[in-house]
Amino acid sequence: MPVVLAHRFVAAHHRTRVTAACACAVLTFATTVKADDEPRVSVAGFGTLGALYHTEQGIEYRRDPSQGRGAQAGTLDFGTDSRLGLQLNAPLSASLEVMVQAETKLTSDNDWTPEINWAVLKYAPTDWLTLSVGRLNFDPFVGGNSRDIGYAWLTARPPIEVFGSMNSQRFDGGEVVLSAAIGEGLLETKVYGGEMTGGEAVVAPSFRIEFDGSELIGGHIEYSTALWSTRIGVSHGTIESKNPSADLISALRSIGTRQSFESAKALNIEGRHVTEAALSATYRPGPLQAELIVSHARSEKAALPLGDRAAAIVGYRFHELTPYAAFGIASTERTLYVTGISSSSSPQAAGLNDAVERIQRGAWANQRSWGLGVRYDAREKLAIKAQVDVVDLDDASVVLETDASAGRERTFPVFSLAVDFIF
Amino acid sequence: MRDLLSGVCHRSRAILLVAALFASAAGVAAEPLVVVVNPASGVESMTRNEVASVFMARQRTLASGVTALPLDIAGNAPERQQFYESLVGKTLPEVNAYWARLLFTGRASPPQQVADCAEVIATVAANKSAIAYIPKSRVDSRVRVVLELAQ
Repeated sequence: MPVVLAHRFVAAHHRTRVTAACACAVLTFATTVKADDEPRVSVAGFGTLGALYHTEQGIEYRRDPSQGRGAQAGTLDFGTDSRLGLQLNAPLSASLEVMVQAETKLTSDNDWTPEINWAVLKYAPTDWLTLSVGRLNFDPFVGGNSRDIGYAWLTARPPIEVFGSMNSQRFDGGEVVLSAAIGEGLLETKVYGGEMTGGEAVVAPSFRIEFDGSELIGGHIEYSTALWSTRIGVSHGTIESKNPSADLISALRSIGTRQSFESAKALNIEGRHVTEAALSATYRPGPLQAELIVSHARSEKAALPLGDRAAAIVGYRFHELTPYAAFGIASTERTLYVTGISSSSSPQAAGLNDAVERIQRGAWANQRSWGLGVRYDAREKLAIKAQVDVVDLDDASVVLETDASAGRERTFPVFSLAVDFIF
Repeated sequence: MRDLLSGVCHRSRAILLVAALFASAAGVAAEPLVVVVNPASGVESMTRNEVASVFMARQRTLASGVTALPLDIAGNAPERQQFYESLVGKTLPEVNAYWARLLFTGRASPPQQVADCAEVIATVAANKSAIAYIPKSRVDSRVRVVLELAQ
């Protein structure tokens, strides 16, 4: 385990050095190109100070698998929702721009090491074409790559049933965006591709998946007007990470039965494909805001937290107050691959069966949340939100289940208070 | 006599105060805003939807093909509030939230901010890409009106 931890630290340190080097290179390039003009560099930022509370023992409530821990029962937690981001935009010309964004938030290693979210060279030579390369974030649905921008969301946090399926949307690569004015709206088509670089996904307390290096391609079509927007998005990834349960897979293969081979295959995520299709829409006439996201993800293997997810948010503004309601649902098919060996045959067989089942069950996400809240725009660029959610949990993967002895089904409230700001 | 005059003054002040309260409650109409461009921009008129597309980053150029430079009056200026409520029916926090999503995902940057109407006019007059909004009474020969926003 110390070797694994050391390797993980070295890998994380290397990633940080590489991304920092990329950011410095981009900035150096920007400075060099713009040397003879006065650069109009702008700095902006966003942040959230969030507090979260619940009393459900054996559950750590969190936003997504990028967080190594969540809010524990009976503790006022400030780590889960709090974050701070800083962004630099440097236009080099009317069509060329550099953007770098760094953020600090709770990571999979339970620290606050800043990470580079974006490091982009964007070239827009015409009104209808934009090319971007560097560190990007994919967005199969509206708002898909803005989940950390609390001020941009009506709710205290983006619906975790939808956004909790991925630890990160970051990838190193490129994207092409084509835009065309059609009628009173804008039709946008985007395609992107590259290698994922979001770090580890903590699927369960004892089960982590490293997605860095996994190949990603995808795209979306969106039509938007002043009142509404609709997007259809598809993304496809090929997992390149090492199997976190490699020893278990070897043991299953050595058994030699058909069922043990099927179980080994189910746990083997290396080289496997994941495809997600999403439909999202927003409708915002005047004081009304409504948002809908529906997604379906498929994988060949059981050891990946996928399935159907949906969320709906609706709010209505009364002066500075916007009360809202939110609903989220995550549904994973409960397919269990068994070894075929009786647990009573030996303690080793019992242990093996337990491990195989635990890993598969740990990847299931079956939960529903109903939320009510209010957003108060206290002053320019600062919003305060108070929200209560009722979580109906069958299988925990988005939230962390640290004690399964209480039984699989739980229903509990979560109280949230957030101060979101931009500057 | 002195008591009579004092009483009349008190009643007059009270009447004026009530009148002011009624006027405030009724919402004394703000001055109408107009959207203006540089006379050399090549643009004669714009629709509300076209202006909204430029100011909400759905469109980067004016109809003449010139890259648009939309200008915002900084902060919570009354003209800025009135402009967005009239144009897209949104309050400034809603507009700021909209821009936060675009800015921090690299899609677009918000309009360039200027201090006040005088600076708006000076900037539009000096830049044929500029498009902005000002009270109708501030229009002069340095700018061209392309749209008048209904209150």
